[in-house]
Amino acid sequence: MSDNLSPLLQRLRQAKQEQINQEVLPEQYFENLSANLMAQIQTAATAPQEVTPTPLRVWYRRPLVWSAAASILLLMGLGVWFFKTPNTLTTSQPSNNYLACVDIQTCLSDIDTKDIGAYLEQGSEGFATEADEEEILPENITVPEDLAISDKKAVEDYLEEEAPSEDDSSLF
Amino acid sequence: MNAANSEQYDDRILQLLKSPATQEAGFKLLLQVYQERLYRHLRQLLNSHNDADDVLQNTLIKIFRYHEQFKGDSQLYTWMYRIASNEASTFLKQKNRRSASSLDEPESLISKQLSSPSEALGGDDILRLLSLAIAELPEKQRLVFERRYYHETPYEELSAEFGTSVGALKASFHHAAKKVEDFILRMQDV
Repeated sequence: MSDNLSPLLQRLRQAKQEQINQEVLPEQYFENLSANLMAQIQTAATAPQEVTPTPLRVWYRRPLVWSAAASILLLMGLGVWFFKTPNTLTTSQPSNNYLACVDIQTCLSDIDTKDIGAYLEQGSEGFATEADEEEILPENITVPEDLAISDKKAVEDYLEEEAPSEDDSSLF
Repeated sequence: MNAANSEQYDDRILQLLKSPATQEAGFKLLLQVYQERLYRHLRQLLNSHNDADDVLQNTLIKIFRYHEQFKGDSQLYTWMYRIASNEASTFLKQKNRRSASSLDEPESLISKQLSSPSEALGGDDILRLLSLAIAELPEKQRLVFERRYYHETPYEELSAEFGTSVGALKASFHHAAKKVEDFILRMQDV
């Protein structure tokens, strides 16, 4: 052997060979081994094929189906909730109709508060007064000369009768 | 049956193994021709007859089960030899892991047993270390080392088998021998 083996490896190889040489194989070892192996492969060949039940993958056993169904139901529920919820517009919680897209603060700031103040002041002066009534209904009503009425005198008399008297002003 | 005679049966064995109807006859012939050679090889790699017997049975069953994977680009025995070597390596590593997990300090135990190297060299423990050291080698180094160390297979034959130059094989053997020796010495020093 041309390999330059170390003394340790040489001695070990020698020791290994001695160990094998000293060993006595069991009687008819190879015959028994052959018989054993042949029996193993014959058993494997003749053994009925083990039927491993294939898990039935029916649709209702698939987790994906249930996940998809749950997702669809959730989306439908959200849709119903979105369109059916009352439109409660507050500044802190946006309404769910399209007006919610308009910032409520912007809307309020667009209103001229001076106009509102003036209007309220005017309103605070009360209801219509006697002077207002006089403006609306003048006391001396005359029939225009050019009015095409046959009995002009009768009309003027009627109006004088119907006009409110001084005493009636207490009614206001 | 010697090596020269056994190889003339290869074609017949492979032909019989191809057909399901003749598989058993083919395997029976394979056992008659090769089981003893495989046993001798495994017995050198392993440390006891029982270990060699276990691994040989596994090896032969695997050969029967996977014989269709033999491409015919090497000799049948070479292919079976590799399967046996790999099985032996796996067996030794697993056995070492089992013993390491069952003992708290396996290395210290080995070192106690090897406290006297002169005595240990003749014992089973140092030979067990040798087997383990070879099993831990990378596959190609392990195959080359086994063939050269135990069987003294010529480098030219190994070169044809592995498709590697003789120089590369010599270097591979040299590295493997160094690793094996270092492993044994390191374990003795623990």
